[in-house]
Amino acid sequence: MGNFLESYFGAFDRIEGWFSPDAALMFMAYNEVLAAHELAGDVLEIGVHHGLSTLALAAIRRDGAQLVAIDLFDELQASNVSSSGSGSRAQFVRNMGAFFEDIAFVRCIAAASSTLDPADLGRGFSFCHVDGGHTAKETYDDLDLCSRILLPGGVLALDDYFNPAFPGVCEGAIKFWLAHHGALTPIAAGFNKVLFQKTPAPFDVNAAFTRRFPYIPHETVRLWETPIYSFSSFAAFIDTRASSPRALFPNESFRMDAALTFQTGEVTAHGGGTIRIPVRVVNRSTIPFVATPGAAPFGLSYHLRSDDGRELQFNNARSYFAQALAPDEERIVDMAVDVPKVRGSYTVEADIVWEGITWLKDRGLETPSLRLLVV
Amino acid sequence: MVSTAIDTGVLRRAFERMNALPGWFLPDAAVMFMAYNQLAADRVAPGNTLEIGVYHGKSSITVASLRGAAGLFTAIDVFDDLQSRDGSSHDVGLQGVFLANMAASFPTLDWMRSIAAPSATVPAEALGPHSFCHIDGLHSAEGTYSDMRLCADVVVPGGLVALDDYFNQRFPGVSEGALLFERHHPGVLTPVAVGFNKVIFQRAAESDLNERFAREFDYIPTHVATMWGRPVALFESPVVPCIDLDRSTPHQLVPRTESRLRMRATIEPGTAAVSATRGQALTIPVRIVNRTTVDFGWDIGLSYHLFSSDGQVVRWDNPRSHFYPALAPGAEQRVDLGVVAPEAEGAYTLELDMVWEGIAWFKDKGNRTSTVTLTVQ
Repeated sequence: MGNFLESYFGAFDRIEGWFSPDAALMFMAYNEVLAAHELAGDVLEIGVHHGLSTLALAAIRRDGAQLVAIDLFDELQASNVSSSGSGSRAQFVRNMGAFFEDIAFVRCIAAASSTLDPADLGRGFSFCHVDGGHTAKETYDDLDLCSRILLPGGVLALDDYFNPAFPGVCEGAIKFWLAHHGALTPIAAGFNKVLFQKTPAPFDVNAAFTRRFPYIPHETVRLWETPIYSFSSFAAFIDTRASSPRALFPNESFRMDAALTFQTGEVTAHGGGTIRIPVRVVNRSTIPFVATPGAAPFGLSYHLRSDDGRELQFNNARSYFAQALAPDEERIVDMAVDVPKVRGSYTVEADIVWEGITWLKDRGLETPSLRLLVV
Repeated sequence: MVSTAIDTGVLRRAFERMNALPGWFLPDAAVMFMAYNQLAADRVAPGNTLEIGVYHGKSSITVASLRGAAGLFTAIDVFDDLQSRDGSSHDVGLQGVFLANMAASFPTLDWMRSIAAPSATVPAEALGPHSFCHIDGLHSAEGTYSDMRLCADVVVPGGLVALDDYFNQRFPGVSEGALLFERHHPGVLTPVAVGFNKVIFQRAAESDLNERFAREFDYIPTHVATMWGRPVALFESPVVPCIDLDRSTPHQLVPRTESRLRMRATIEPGTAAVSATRGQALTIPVRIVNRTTVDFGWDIGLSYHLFSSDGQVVRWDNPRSHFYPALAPGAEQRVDLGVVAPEAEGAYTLELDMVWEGIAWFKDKGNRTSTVTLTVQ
């Protein structure tokens, strides 16, 4: 499976589906953490469509384990009440066959998941991906089913929790949480997925994740009263050429840097209000500076100092990169600066922030300064 | 009689001012607010408006402009200046920044009051009745619950409450707080629209609000989603391009003349006739050209109507085949239309049609369909 990841990601523009390499790598990373704790059972997916995400599950399962693929496929589309994708068995089988010589490990079940019982599936699963019906009831039922077939400590990935086109997913999940408090513990979110762990968990999965993948940045947010990791980028930090689905390695060429230059000299302004100061920004990172809802945004900001160099306010207004600044690209950004209400001389030190993750100054960015005179 | 409120009287200048301020509020969200406020005004006269969490005033410019002629705009914020890394706080003056930014947007501010306090400490009685509220304060479950309760208390029946970041992965507490509010106060606030990071709720919701939206704003494309068990309008495409920014006011949106949406697509099957066994699944290659102004995403698909040889409808609604990647306006794509043959032998006609889920079949909007003969043996 040496080049599996490169072949797999290369197929993303050929295989129909709403799944990203970042999501696949997040699945693989958490699966690797489970496997390191000898938690490696069968894998299952509800809603396989043409198999794009199923391929990731097939690749992470332990040798000899089964993959259960549940979908309405072509024959039962009349039961697709939420219009959440229409599976094709022929396409699915063809796509699986393109990556695995023998797909005898795949057990296809053409059925609505709501008609299935744990007895139909077994109870030895270490990873389930729920991407089937997107109504509140369908989501609730799928979480209920998977929570009963997962091994303790096993991971459940839920699709579209934060997708405004499918509010039922979040509703069904929260109803499940309120009805089965503690059955599933949320652990991570990213790339249209939320990961949960079946309780009782034999180990702290996020502590283990941090030990194994210290180079993958995350924010910490609270979901269901529990701190979870929120990811905005994954693929940028993995060397896909050196990695396999069950062993990820860091991208050693990753770097995060920029060049900032004020486009004006000393600025004089009246106290109060927000002014704009132009700053030339060159992205010298290997990832884009971008701000999209739901992911930790990159922004141009500044630290405010007194004339004698004392820090007055470290955190200040952000000018987010609503339009992405790609690696090696440059742009003049009109940086929003709140003018202090007290007259005097100040120093504005420009910096780049990756919200909730890091300031680039802390990673060695050379930060330029400008004198602000408030009159 | 309502106030146009913006200093120049036109939306374009207001949006330019908003865009210069830090914050996340999109002009598209502003238009969505204005459209629903305009609809609600048919039944409830615009009165006071309220915003919890104003930051630099980016969205306050819009919310303030939604008030009635004699209405007040109330801004609630803790205005807590962010701190130095050593934990010490220096009053750089966020409240002053907010007031200065508002003063730069309106000729006077004698209709505005600013409350520097946590919203949880502000009693409803101190606020009075409101026709529009925007919640963008604490994003925790507790904070969201508390703010929804406050706004539900102050908003008049038929009035609107907009909530920020319900679907934001960085703030899961918002949806939790909102759903807990619905659990404890079922039916008090009803979701009516979702878009641009906002959910709009209506107190004592009208059953026909979105029907009226579809009639009055038929030039703004929306989809349908189900939220809290009822249909809501889902905004997935930018709406500012639909609006004439020079002729519109916050209380009266005017469409751009060229923005009337046309549901048009070219549908060209690669074959005129196919045969199949009973119940067989087959695919028919079809060339599609998107002749609308919106992307064909997950909710616009190719499907077909099945007719018997004598022209009777056998099955109108059939499985959809979707575009991957989404098909942009003007672009074309070959789609393999999935067809399941009927169980009965005979001759059939497949009428290929495009469908916008929850909106309409393209055929019903005047688009030309194509047919393929199906023989089942």
